[in-house]
Amino acid sequence: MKTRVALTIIALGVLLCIAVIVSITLGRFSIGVSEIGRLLRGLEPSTEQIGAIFFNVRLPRIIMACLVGCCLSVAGASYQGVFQNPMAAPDILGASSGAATGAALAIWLELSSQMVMIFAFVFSFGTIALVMLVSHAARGSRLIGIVLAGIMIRSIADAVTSFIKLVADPNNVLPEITFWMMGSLAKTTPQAVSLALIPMALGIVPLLLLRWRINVLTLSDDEAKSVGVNVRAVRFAVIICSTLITAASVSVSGLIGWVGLVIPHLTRRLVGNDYRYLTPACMLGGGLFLLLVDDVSRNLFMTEIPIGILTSVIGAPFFIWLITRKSEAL
Amino acid sequence: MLDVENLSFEYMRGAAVLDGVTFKAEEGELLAVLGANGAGKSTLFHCILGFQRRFGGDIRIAGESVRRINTRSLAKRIAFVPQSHAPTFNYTVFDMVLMGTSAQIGSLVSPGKTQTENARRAIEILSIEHLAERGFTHISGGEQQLALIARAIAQQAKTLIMDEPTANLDFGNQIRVMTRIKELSKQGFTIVMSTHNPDHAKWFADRVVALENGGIAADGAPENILTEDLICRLYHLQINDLRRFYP
Repeated sequence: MKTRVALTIIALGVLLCIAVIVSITLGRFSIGVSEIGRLLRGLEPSTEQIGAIFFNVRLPRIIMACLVGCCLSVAGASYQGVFQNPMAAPDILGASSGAATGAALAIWLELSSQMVMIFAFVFSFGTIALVMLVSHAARGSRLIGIVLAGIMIRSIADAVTSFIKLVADPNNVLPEITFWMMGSLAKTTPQAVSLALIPMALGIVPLLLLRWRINVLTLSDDEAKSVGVNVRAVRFAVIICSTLITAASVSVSGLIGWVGLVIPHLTRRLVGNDYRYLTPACMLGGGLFLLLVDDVSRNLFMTEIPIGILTSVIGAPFFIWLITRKSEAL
Repeated sequence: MLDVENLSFEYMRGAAVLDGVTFKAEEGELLAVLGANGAGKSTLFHCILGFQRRFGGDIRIAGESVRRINTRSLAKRIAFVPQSHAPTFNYTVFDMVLMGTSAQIGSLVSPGKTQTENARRAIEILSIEHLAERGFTHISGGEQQLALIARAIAQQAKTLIMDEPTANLDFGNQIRVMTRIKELSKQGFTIVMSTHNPDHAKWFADRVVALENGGIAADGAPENILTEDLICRLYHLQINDLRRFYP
């Protein structure tokens, strides 16, 4: 059992490496495998143009696709654990919409990209806090309560975003917000990667360290307390970290839906529910998934398809397949 | 071992759920808490386990007040066996038992060799080795209850609090689970369990504490206190109705 899980994680890692190499070669301007070998060994690129495309465009975008996929999946899996709810995900809970509202506001105010990220985090955390408050007060099943609260709060956040779009300057700001709402990695720069990397690492590292505690939190609160876990503190830390990486992702890539729900569920099928293996597997699986989708997004047609549109087209039917499939017995 | 002294608790001002509850559980004793629905059994357990800390009176474990013990240290002394229920996510029985060892490690690490060994031994004590790699949701209610007891053993606390360990179990499973619980108390565990079944108290418990409207109605050896009168009083039954089934 444990060996199978370990092998699955290694296989995901190998697949991700292969996908990265293939993705580098793909594109309107093709870079050969021998050229990648040269660049990896630290040698000068054969032409200046290849070097510019590799370092400034293709590599940052590939790294960003992996990072965003990794973050959204880990955030989804972690939310699911601490809310004891398999339907939890950054987009379902409204964390993504909240981040989008904050980011849209910052773009509208023409603030710097750092400020876009900070706004995204503050609004995203505000939405999650509201969702928790509302679901806490709601009567009836907690599982349904939190999903419903997510839908309500999300619709408020979306309304605010729509209003910002309404009053935004239609010549420069509006197209930027609109394009960004569809989710895209097209504008990724090396600077954006290094900017996003810090909050992402700050969020993911604690989530990796806390992954046994997240296992315990999937039990009822009383049970978790009785085995000695400080439920409130751990849940709070996990929510903060998950929201941080969601906001960091949304602020650089826009709204990319479904990844945070579909990838954790698929990964649960592969390695089980134990977060000791689930979290690393989600990191690799999420990165792999979004990288492949981004490859399609930039290579399928002459003009790019925003990646958020693609993840929805792939994600929703995939999720339907997932929930209608019979579960296998352990 | 466990010392409850003049315990009182109210969720709302003026509506006492527990009032002046005093009893003791000695080391190695199997103590059954009897009482009708709403008599305050769950609240009593929540206070002992530290889920509710705003109670009046005092609860001491090995002489130390639980109020002054934090969640993690308390877990090293008292373990909780809840009623079996479907968890949100399915884990193997082994992992479920391993979760009991969480108080033995820091927040930022996963269980190591010692914890794995503790879990393995707990599974051996309950003789459920054959279930270790099965999914918790795929085993029977009785087996789940044994797994939850194994988790409490892996926690390495000497006092076990069990919330109706035989609820929702068929007759065979009730007897199997109760027999295991009795064995554990003989091995030196102090066990406080609530039950709805006076027979279980009579057959297995060393001592019975009967709760009525948040107070103690009786406290003593089962053969001395489990009288028809007490049962009728606790469960609001007419003595003739009871005699029809228990002549």
